[in-house]
Amino acid sequence: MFFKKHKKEAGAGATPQDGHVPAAASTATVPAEPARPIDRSAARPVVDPKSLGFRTTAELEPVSGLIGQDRALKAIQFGADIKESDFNIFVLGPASSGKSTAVKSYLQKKLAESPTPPDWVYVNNFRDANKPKALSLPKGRGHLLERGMIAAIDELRTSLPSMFEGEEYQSRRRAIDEEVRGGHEKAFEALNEKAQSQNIGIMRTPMGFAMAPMHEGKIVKPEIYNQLPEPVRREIEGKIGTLQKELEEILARMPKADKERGARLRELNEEFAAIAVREALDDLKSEYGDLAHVVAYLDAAEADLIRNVGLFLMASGEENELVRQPVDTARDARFRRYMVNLVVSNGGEGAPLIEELNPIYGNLIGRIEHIAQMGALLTDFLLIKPGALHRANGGYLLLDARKLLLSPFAWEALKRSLKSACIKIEMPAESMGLITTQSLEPEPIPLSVKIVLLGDRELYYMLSAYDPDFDRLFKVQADFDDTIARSSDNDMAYARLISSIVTEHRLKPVDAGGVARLIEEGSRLADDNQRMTIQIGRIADILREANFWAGEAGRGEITRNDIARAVHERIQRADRLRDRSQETIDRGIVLIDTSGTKVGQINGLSVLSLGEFAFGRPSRITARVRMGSGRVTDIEREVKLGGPLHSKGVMILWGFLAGRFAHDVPLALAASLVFEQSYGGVDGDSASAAELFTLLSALSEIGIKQSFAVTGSVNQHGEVQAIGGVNEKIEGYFDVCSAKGLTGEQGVLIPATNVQHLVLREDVVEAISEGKFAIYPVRTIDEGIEILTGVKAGERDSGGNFPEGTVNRRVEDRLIAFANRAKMFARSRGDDRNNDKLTS
Amino acid sequence: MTMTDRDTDLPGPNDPYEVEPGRVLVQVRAGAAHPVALEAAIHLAQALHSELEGLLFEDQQLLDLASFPFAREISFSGRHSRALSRDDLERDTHLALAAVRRRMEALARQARVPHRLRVVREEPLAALSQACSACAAWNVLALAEPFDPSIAARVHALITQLHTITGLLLVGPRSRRAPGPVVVALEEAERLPIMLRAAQQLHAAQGERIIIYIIAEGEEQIGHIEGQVRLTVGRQANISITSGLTTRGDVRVLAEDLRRLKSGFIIAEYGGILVPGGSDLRHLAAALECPMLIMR
Repeated sequence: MFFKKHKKEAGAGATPQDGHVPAAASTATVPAEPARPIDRSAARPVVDPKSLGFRTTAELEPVSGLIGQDRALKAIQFGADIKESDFNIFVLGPASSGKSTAVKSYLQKKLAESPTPPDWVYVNNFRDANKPKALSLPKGRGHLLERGMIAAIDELRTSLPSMFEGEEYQSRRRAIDEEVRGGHEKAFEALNEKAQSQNIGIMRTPMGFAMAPMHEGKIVKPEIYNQLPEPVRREIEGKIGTLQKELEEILARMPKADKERGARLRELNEEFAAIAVREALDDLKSEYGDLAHVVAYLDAAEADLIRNVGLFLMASGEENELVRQPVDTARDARFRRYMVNLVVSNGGEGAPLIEELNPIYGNLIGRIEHIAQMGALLTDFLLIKPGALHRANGGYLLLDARKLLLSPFAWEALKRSLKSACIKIEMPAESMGLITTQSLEPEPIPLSVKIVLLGDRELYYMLSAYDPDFDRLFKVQADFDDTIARSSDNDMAYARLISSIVTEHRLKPVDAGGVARLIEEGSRLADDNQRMTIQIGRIADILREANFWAGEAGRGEITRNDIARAVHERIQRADRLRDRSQETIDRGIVLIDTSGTKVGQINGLSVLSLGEFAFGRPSRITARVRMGSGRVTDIEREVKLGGPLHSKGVMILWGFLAGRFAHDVPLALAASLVFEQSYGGVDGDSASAAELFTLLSALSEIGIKQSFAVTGSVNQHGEVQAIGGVNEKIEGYFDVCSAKGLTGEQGVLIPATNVQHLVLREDVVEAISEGKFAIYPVRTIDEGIEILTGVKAGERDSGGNFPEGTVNRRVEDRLIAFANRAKMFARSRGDDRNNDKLTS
Repeated sequence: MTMTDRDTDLPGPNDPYEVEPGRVLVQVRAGAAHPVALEAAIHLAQALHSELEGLLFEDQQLLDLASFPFAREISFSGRHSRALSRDDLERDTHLALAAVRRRMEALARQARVPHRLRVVREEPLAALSQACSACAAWNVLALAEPFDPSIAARVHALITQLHTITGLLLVGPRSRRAPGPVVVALEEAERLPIMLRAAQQLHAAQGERIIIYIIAEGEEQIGHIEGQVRLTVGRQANISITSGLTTRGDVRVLAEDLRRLKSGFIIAEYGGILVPGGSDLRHLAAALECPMLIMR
């Protein structure tokens, strides 16, 4: 049984009573011999250092990989070798089991055999700058293209201004200017001369031009003009009208001529720019002649450079005024569009193996950064930053599944990329319309990667159950075991594993005694005396700590004592709560009896887990019975402190009682069960045996020896079944008994099937060997109740009756008495309905 | 002559100038003011520590023209024309001059140049002549309109008829205010001191180098002038010497040289090879990319 905050267990006993039961045989098997306490050899496996056959781990060859993980390693091998894109690997297993190390170790060997993937660059899309183009280049050539473009632009920064300052360009430009402007001026001058010859003056006004009659270079005064004869005035006005029309035509032609001049100058500029630009890009084009898509990009860049030659003829405004040193081309805002954004560079040999420790969306898929400028957020293709998928493309990507799932949008983005087999950088906030700013749609990059997710089993099964995509994309599961079986071969392999940890962490060698102690601790961590933990992280932690204590003691080797001290010190650091709990029992705040007998009361056992440390603690369980309508009240459940498993356990008790004692009579019983002084939640069924013992004690009115504590679950047939945390539970009760004084009568009843899990503390084992403490493995309730009460449980005889004085007889008699009284009570009240209810 | 005075920052009669200051006269015609010309005039006045007097002309002849009943105005683009009345012209002129006045006042205040601006409704040559006759150590006339071929003839008239002006400041239609060296276009060695002094004052104001560009029709003549120049200038880090060989009457080569020197200001002499008196100044006007001070 578990408390919701603490793991827990419990038990109880009883005495029979008068009454008669029909002949329905109990199904619980009573052993031929009474249960005996285990001896010290069963309480803890002991490894003989001499049996290991070496003196220290320095004599051993370290293991190169993991031990006992053949199934998982085969799965990784299969997953890595198979080329299908949906056969990604989920490595599941407990933390510190060496999953990551094992995967990396295997994949590292594979990398060199795999082809090196290409480089990837993002370049400007000269047709649509918002959709940068992705170019793939053979390994190592991405960087060369990046540098090549910078060099070409550098060259153009010098060559273009020289070319446009040159005599040839200037002469041809002047010729165009002269041709166009001269044409205007000539036309204007001709008109001016024509006007002058007709004594008409053309004058400039604030808004344009106006004409008037002139005489000797000056405008004729209106009063003089008016004195001229009418025909003369009409003639002058006619001339002015004609000249005005001509002037209008000349002026109207000017914009067209300017446009023509602009076009001719543009042609001239492009002609000259093309010479320099082609020369600058020629080397690059021939270098990348084997890559048509790169040549196409260079052609587009060439055309754009020719069109925008003005960029090279204007001052950048960023030149260093002191040294007149032009700014770095790569940093010059004018030339950003010609730069190359090298997002993936695979300079080395073989496929990449990338582990992304922080798999947030941007780190995984890549992101588009922005620059704040005048209050606006701007971006371009050079601000595209690659993600882990880009870097791992063509190789392997290791991700922690939990971190991935905790990162918003990351899991969905990963699945999307795997399904579409391409990496498409989209900013989640933008795609959801949360931000409206200038952004890009970079061309997706084809993806071919093997994803290796590392996580625990719960996560794997949860994803498998709830995410329909998961099983489609992660078809390979590499399940890491956390324990291996004990055998002489495996003990030796374990020693070599210890040797490899020693080598990796540069620790002192461990002597055979230390290795033996570590194997014992491995069994303890596995909670099984026939298996050992292979959680490398935990073993390494103990070893490193033992190495420290060996150093403190001035030893050159790690010994058994150092391992024991490391284990002890770890517990010491974590057991403040255990001490507090123990203290409350010692001071009588929490009521626990360890001697005497009590009817309807038993010591149950619970386990409290605090991270890697767990300890046991006894709890008092009590039961009260009376005549009733056939109901066991689980007080924990009534107050909503009991979990479903605990309730199930209590219901099983009812099934046991009804099946054994109430075949032909109504079960006119009302009982209540409670964990005394329990203020947290209770769950699990490992206290069900203790609860049944308590009920039997209450019904039979036979006292239970309080020197015992009980753990184990029970089924409807009265068989006691295995539970977890048996070592901590025993030790928890042992500590309480030690504090109160060991009498030799104290002990713990455990399910017989839990004996194989015993790896008890050395002080407990010592007490067992000295007869001060006992562990009783029990198979059935009858076996247990006999130990707890000292009274025979009793079997039905041929007449179907339990022998007089046995626990079962007294329980049955009591239940029949309840039934009779209930019947009489119902009659006396004339309450047929009650009667019906009792017989139902 | 009708004068509308509006003045401002000129010193009063009791101002303690030890030496009577020079004056930059700016001739502004409505609708023709070139922004670079205005800036160059202010800059020159600032560099030479002179005062600035702006004559904003309301052209009487234009007003006479607008009095004709048949007078029409054709827009600069040639796309619009309208009947032109005297009232319309006066209003347009007034608005155009008001805008120029505001601009000049702002520039002069910014450059801390003492200035006086007035509107003049008079024949320009007469008004300028009268303005020049007022006491000043020297007068430089700045034409605020672009120096295009159509006004080349007026340049000659101004130089020859206004005897009291020391120099004429011109900007070409393509002139722009840009930093660059002060170029002294030297054709006679004896003119060097005065031109160099003006250049040094401009150099002090704008912090650019001085280039002495020697112009002559023969190598020997260039060598001679260069010797004189080196003797006068000595070794000054901020002065460099270059030369241009040409034949009289063809200023295109010289104009191109000046453009390549990326000059910020040119000082030249009138009546020489670069600015021939009374000749066609078309090529010079077309190539002029910065203000040019022509010294008599």
